[in-house]
Amino acid sequence: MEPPSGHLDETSAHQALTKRVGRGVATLSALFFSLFVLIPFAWVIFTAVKSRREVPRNPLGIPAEWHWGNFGEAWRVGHFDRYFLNSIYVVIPTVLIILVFSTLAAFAFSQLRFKGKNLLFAILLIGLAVPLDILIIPLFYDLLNMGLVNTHWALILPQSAAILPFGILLLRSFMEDVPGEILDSAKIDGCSTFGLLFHIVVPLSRPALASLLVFSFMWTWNQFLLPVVLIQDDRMRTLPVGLNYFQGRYSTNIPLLMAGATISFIPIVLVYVVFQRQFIKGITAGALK
Amino acid sequence: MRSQVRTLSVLILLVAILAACAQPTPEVVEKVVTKEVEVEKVVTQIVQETVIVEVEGTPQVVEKEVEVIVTATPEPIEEANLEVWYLSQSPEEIQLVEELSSAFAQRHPGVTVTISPYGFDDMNKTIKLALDSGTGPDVAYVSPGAGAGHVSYAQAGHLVELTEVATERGWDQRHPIDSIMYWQKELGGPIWGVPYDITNVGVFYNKDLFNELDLKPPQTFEEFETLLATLKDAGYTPFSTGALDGWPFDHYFMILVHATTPIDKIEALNYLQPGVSLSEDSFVEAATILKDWIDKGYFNDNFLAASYQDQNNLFITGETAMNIGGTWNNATFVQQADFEVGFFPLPRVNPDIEWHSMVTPNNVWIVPKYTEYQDLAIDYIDYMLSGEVARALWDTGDIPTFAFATVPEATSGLQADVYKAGLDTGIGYYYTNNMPEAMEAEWSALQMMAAGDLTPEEAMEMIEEYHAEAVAEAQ
Amino acid sequence: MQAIKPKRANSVSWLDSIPAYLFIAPAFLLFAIFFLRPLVQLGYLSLVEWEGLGPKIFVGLENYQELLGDSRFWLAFQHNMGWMFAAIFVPTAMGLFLALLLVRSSIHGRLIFRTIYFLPQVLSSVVVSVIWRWIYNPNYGAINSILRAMGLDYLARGWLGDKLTALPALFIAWSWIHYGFCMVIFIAALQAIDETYYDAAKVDGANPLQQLWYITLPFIRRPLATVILITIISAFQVFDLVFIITRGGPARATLVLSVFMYDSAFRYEKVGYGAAVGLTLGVVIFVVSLIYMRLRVRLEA
Repeated sequence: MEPPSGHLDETSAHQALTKRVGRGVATLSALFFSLFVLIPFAWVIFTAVKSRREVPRNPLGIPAEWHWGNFGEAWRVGHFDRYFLNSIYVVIPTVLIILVFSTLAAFAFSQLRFKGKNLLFAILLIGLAVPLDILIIPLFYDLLNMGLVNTHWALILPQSAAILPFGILLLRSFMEDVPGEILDSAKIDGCSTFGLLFHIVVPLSRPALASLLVFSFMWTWNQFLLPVVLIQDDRMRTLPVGLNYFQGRYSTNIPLLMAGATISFIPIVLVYVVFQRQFIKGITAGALK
Repeated sequence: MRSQVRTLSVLILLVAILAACAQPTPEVVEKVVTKEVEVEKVVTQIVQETVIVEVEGTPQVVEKEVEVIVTATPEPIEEANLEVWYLSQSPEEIQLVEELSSAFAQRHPGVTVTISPYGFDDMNKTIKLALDSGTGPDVAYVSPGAGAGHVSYAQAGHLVELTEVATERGWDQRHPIDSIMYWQKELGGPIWGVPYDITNVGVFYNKDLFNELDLKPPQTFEEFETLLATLKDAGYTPFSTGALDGWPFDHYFMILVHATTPIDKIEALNYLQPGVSLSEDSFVEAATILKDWIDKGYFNDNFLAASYQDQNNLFITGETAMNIGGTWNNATFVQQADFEVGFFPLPRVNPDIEWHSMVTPNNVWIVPKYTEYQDLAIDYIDYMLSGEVARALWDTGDIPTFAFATVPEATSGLQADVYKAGLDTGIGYYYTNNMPEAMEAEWSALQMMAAGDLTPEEAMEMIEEYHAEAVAEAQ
Repeated sequence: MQAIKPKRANSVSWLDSIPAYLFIAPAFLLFAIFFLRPLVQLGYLSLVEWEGLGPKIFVGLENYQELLGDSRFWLAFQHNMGWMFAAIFVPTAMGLFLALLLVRSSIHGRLIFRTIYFLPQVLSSVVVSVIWRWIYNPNYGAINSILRAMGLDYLARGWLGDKLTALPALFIAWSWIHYGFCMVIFIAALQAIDETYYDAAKVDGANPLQQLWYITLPFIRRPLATVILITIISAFQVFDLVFIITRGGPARATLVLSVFMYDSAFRYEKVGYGAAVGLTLGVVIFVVSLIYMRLRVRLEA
């Protein structure tokens, strides 16, 4: 039953006010939480540009002098160029392998019929249930026997293997959504299986592939346990482990350490800010399917 | 997606420009240029040198004969790359070794030396496997002793025995303390690894502060306790420690153990021999003294949350009067403290025992059996043990094992103190090195004791449990 | 006349399967060698005594017996359990709250906020460890410095050194990373709810709180369950932060199972024992997940 119009005006004004106040409170909460995230970053950067003397005297505040040279020094002294390169040499093959192998396998699982399909898929799911971390002990000795310890392959191969189940799952569910009519008409036109894959399914799966790419990139770039166990040669260290090693060696020089940490996170933050849609989609898609 | 790639490229460009602006002033790098040089065969020269010698504290100027050993360039050999694994976390030390190694390479045309630094954990994890699979280095500077040390690699048959070489090259004549045999005792003789410097653990102190308060390094433990109380009453914090990392605090305990316990018992612990237990009185006494110091507030605030870096930083900035730690810190303290840093060994608690601190030969040089450059490796070690290198080490504040005919002038008061302490006291042992689980238990037990969760007796019992296990397994 | 056996609807011949096998071969080969094989080896290694060098001595279930009697194992297990319980509530609630904020409220600048909130997720654990270890530093860290600046000196303490605060401190640092994951899942789930439900409710005069209870929550039940499950598994896997910041100390106050596994194999040279710990950890994760999923089914019924 509709209330009389005068009363309606009051209600809508009341609603507008409530909405304003609600938005204000929400915005305040949102800002407050932003501080929770941003303050540690800001503080690390501030500390990175302070002088060693200033840190005990002024731990909290804005630097009195801005020693930008700390970044250059950390880079040079901490061999970060080496660590960056190693991370790149590991990430690129890993991502490529994951993308290619996952696409092929997901295609098979979504479009083809074959014996033992369900069993094989179930085996793949073990990869999702078992964390890679607990396998590090046997992995170390396996790779040692293969002579791969202290090489990039020691990081590329297990990492790819660990992410493949996720990749296949993700791409498969995406490929299953490809409309049947498109596939059927292609088949009628005489399209081969490979053609189906390359000309139809892959192009249509681009969003999922982009998400998988970004997700694999992030997970591999930040991987710590694998390289810490499998790489001891400083020349082969990846960035996270390099930073940790740097922390051990320069732990008495706080600004230098913070500069090293900043150098480590700037690139991935940049990549993230630009490609965040894909990052988030990658995670969401995986968890929701 | 394309616009995203574009944005990213722009951002990368911006960062690159910023980075280029953030370069530190380039330091002057000395380039090593290899030249062909005619060298005469010179071995030993006797030279008259004016040297200042400290005799009983009074500097005297004296003319002395000094042996100067000059190495001549040996015959050039074919191209070789000597892979050296070096155990150290200190950037300065690693840099020095790299410089020394390139000097070595200069004298051996065709030879390059690659130094790979390793931390303690990493080295122990990798070296055994590397030796076993024959894929390791040609020379390595590793942890000494049994357990995870070089003696265990020797027992597994991986190392070249250096006993003869040591005699030939006079290595065993070059040490003022029994450094070379130190790590070989349980095998009764063969030399598998050779140390080239010595570390000590003792009390670093703020000389300026001591002078201000009219304090002197103590000669007896009572004097030390009085000194601590004086400092505390005057409003100063006596000690800094980083107990969060475990091992820095353990050093306080271990040095006390060396002050309360006869050295043969500590030796027995070190070599995993039966017949000694950490629940014995002397160990409990050491723990009790430490607890006493904690209760009296002699340590930095929140020391259980402080790390090793905090321990050193607090001392360097003058916030604590003393710092019990290892002499690998010498260079850091000398360079970064505003005040003069001194060192004295901990006085004995038990007057009936010999005076020992933890003077230990540092890590050892070893030569794996599988290397194709065995002779070159031995030449390299010979070079590292030479007077020239010893002098270079000495100049950085380190104490080499080399027996100088005349001890060079100390580069700092600290180094003079450390050198003297090394001669006054006897060797000690990192007795948990061969039992890693007991080592972790010791760290944890001491931390629990510090937090008040365990009594000193209980703490010792906790460590003893793992020690007993290790001994049982070693039999 | 012979009865013709009807073909089963889904049966495909081996020959026809070959193309598909070729497609899945690369992935499966890699997966088998570098994942399945180590998994099986883990089981085998847990039954031997081995120092990483030399002979492996078969000891059967001895490692497991030792493990069950090892106080360090149970301490680590306790810590992981506590971590799990806290994880079910803290980062998930934070994630849900922020997701609601970003999706259901009318604030501006949603994208910017989302970008900021998700940021910790892209950092390496080492960077996070370096940051938070410094934040917790007793002398110059942010927390104590702020407290002292506000005159609350007595509240400043050694966060990482006190066994009561060390594990929670690490947990907070971990939550700082993990809530972002929960948040984006919830965002996607919330965005999937049809707006017409809310419109209908508003016409019926429902206030925001009622909308939340009667529409939002029921609709995100499944994603919420997924988030909790993944969070539980993550809580048992925690390694990087603990390893880098406190290494399980002080006095084992922050010892977790993954660190204990690493220590056993690589620090104490008891590889078989470490493998047993690892396998047990895997089993624990499996069992807890199972229990959780059963509980969920029970509760929903």
